[in-house]
Amino acid sequence: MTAHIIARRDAASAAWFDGLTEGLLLIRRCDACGHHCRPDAEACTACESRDLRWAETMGTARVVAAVSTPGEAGTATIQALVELAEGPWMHAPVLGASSAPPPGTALVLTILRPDHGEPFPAFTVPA
Amino acid sequence: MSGRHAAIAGLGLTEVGKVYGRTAADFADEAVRLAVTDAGLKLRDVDGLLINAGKSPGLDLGLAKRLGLRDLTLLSQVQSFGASAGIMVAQAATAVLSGAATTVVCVFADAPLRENARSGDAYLSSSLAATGFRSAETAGGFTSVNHRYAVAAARYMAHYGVTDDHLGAVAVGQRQWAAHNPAAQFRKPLTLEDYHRSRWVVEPLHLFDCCLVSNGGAAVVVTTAERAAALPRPPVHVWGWGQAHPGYVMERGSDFGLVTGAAASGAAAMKMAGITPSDVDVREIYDCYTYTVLVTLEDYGFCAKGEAGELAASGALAPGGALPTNTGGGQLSGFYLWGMTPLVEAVQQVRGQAGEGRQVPRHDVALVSGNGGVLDHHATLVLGAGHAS
Repeated sequence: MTAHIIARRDAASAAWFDGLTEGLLLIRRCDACGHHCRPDAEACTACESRDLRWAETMGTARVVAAVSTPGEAGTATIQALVELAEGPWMHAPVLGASSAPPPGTALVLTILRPDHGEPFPAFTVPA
Repeated sequence: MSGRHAAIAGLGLTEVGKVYGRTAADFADEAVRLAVTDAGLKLRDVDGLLINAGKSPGLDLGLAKRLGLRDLTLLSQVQSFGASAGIMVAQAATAVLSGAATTVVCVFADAPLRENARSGDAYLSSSLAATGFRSAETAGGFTSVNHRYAVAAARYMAHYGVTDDHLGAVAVGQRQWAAHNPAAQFRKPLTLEDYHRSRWVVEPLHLFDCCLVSNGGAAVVVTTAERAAALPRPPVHVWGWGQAHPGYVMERGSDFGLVTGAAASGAAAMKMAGITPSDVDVREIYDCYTYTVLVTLEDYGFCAKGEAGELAASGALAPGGALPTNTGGGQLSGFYLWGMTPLVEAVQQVRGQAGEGRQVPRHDVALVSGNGGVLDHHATLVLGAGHAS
């Protein structure tokens, strides 16, 4: 993570950031067919319905692919494309890992609350 | 493809690399003039102009006025990022074959490099300016396109057992080609050991897995094959073209990272041209990263999925190999002018004018790929030295 880069809400994401503030990672659930979509979806990716509503996630995920970004003095941060238990994919940091975890690694949600900017989702590898 | 063809009759390439003090419009202006002169034409012969602007500002439709072009019947900006060059040529070919225009120039130029600034900074600003959902990803560490391609590469490598030795073989082989390209920015020999010693940009991508950043411009003149035959340069016939924009749904079951738009756009272009991969003499593959070379070769059908890494490690893509690929050094070692980099090299190869050490012995058919966004947009061209059979 880069300390001076902050998450900023806009009109489309306001409810999602409100959810994170309350400790919830929200995604979109289709009223017509029940499919779960990414938070930025405007129509259902399964049936094209626009009747989407916010839904809470379980807060668990698995690694699709993870990478490692070198930092100062030999440190590194881990970022991953993760698959939420409900199906949508997200790009998010992985905390507490010294190297990129392999595909399929189980993850649990942690919401980061920096001093500046909006909260944002991260994941950890359970002990 | 039977019947009439379009052809590339002119090529213009400015000085490229760390060339400072000039704007994108300056480079575009020069590239157009060079291409038109190379075709043996005058600017007054041009009746179509297609423009692909890069990251830096100031290149737009005003280029036509700056060049003094009059009575154009085709003028537009095209933006599918790295796929734009192939798409411009396809649109130009369609225009000249339909009679909507006779002579269309396609140009790309960019000047993102600043003196005393890091090359990587040139492509950071759009990520850092993100708001909304995307800004949460940026705050979480996805601060550049390198991260997004690294994720795609990591998925591909894990799925198919591709190693960094395989990626390194692409970088090393292309550097061997670049040694013979006077326009290439990096010509010093690169070994696999050098590759492994290079710093991680975002693991699994080393520094030498990532393309250069360049200032410069390039243009081609597209006209009918009949007209091109009467012009001084050997015509490079446009046999086929295709586009693909996968629109990956980023959720369970996605092919993202594993299969690219090359699969669909390549199949379409080769079908139009009436060829198969075995007919291709030289491959100019969009190489923003070493990974995209491997996955694109597989998607085009030059080998089975997961086998391109071994193909690269065997030396097949490098000078003297059975499948010469990115013969100018590509964007990894040559220069980075988006989709114009592979197109410029393909035109030189098909003309038979690539020069000693670089010109491949069989050069009748070239396949050119373009890739834009993060595997979001793909274009393929099939270029031939003569009329398609």
